Amino acid sequence: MEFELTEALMDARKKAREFAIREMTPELARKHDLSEEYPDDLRKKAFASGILDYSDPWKILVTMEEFCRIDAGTGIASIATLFGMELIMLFGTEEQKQEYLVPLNSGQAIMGLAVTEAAAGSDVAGIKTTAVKSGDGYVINGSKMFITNGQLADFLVVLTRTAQPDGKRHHGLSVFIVDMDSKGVSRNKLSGKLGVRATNTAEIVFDNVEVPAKNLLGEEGKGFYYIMTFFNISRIYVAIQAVGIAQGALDRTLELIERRGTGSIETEKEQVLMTLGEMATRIEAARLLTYEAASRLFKFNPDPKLTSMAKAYAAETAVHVTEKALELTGVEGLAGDLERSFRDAKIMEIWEGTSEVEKLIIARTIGRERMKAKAEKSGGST
Amino acid sequence: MMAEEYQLLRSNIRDFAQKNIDSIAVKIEQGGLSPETARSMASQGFMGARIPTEYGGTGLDERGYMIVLEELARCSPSAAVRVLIVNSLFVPLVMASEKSREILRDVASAKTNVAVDHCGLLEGHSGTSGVMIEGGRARGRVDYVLNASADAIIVAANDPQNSLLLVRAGLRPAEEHPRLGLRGLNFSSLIIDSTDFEKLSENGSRLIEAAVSDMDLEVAAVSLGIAAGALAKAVEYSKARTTFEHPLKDYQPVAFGLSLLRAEEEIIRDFAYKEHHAAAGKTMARVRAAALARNATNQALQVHGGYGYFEDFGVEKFYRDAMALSILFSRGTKDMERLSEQVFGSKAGFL
Repeated sequence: MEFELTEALMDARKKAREFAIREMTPELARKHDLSEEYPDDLRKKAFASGILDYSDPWKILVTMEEFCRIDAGTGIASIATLFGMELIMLFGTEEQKQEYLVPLNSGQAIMGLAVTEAAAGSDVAGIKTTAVKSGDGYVINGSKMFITNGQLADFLVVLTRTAQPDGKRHHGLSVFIVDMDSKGVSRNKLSGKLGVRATNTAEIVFDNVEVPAKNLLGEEGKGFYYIMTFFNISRIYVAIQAVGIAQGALDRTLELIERRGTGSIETEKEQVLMTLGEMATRIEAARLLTYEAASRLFKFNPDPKLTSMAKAYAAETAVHVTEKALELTGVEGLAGDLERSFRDAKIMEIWEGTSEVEKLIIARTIGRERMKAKAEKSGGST
Repeated sequence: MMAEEYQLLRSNIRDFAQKNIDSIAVKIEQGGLSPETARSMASQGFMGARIPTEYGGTGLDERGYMIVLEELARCSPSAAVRVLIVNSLFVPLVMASEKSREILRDVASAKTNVAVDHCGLLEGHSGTSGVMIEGGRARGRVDYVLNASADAIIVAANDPQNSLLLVRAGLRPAEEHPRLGLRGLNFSSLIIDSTDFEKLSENGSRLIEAAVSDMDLEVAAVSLGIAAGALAKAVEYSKARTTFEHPLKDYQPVAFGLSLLRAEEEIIRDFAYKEHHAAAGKTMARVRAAALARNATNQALQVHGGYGYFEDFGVEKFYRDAMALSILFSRGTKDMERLSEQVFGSKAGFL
């Protein structure tokens, strides 16, 4: 058992941190937080800097952690331009990979994933967008809600219903790659988010959008399984975003307390020290859970239970730590960069599966594991 | 007032707030609380809730005033805090000087918009107010002023008497601070350069500090309004929203969680509004109501899922405001020390 990052990863972390400190200045972060405009210059700089190596998921993980530690809004906006690409990597044809993944990796293209609908969030199988076979392809109708990168994306990976469910709601779903310049696609930017306001969020409407058959991802009818597989990947990245936000809030809290006090937190009263001690402990626990879940996933042996634990716990940690950070720093925290962390943190408990959904997954997986163990035991004894 | 009268007052204010404040609550968040809205609140007697009738106010008793604050906060915490700044900070400080009380007429009618430099006394503020008096001018810069677009402000000056000054003109909001909550009110530093000021009293900082400590029940009322507003939205939403083919409310974690918070809301409200309070009781109401507001708004937002994260649904503002209120109108450790001293009967919790 090893708890050290490799030298290459420590180097990636250092470079990411240097870039974030240099480029994601409080002024830039505040500007995009206020205007809700996407930081496209920052994205270009991040790609040009060479620190975004999407071929190594560990590097992306630590880079995302360091970006979010400095600023979650601009950080996520500049690194999550490939959101959903694992679906193409895992289930796409060679042709699809060539056409769509190559421009993504170079920063030439932006993508997004369109699953959520106005009436179907956690309940993925409740989606209503349809794709109907027509001639050589499919025709998509429906609309998608809260789509990250929605307005910027060159293409989206879209979950649709291709057949009525045969008694099981999650059957009959299929995934398509849809070019956003297709006729019949319209997009409306959604404004007024509580946090991560530098990220772009949109509602996408598909009105008789024709999609060629070659844009079907994987097999027809297996969409639900693909999306769940993807969530088991993306939840790890959300977990690390939350860890980064929490760590950044602790960093800023320590700085503010040192500055207004004696220069060292050691002279603070016990109430302050104990709160800081608990914040630091939770962050470390969330980080370890996330790294463990990641190490299994990156060895192609994901553990959905651990992944959901990491995501739910890290998200709650981010909310808890940013709240305590404001309590400890008072007016200065409120009128500084900590208030943004507090607003950014809350989305971690919502996107990619709410904390409630994660906890259900954890308990149900434990239940399945126990039943399986029991079956094996009784199978062995007879 | 009798119990029925309080009830009538509450239902009247709720009607007004539903019609006139709730409908523009998102606009207040985006563009600030307009002078027009301030005037409409003044016409109902809210702006001068605690101003004596002889100075054009409503002269409400404490409980009546709490109802005003709570019902406004249910729709727009910014609107409630605007009333709070006037009646819990500005009014008691101005009352210290008989000759200055005339200003209260224009405050009650919302003709004059006022602020008090109280944030300098809160935790996490290392700076001091920099207002000096030199040759008949009051000048300097004050950080962290809530409602900084005011026409008049009360500040504690940096002179040997630590004079409490009422500055009537020459205010200019400078650098705007990031705003977590109470976005209907401007929050920025203020440049003061004025010959139009008067001295209300000496020991200004101590008087402002006393006013902040003395508003336990009022702050509790705003916190209760925030909790009640957020929970009402969450209860309604969980009836209407379906997931996995059932309304949210049919699921135990949603129903039990919101029900327990509603229970806490009722219990704290009953406690806060009771007729007689020991000193500790008021502080207890303040700290428990603040904790409820933060917890309830967090869970209310969570029940709304992705929609809760967007301002249109009017629930995220409660989450921001609960936190902002608990920083801008509480004194964290000092409140807890005050409470502990009352509970233990001697100084406690100071090491």
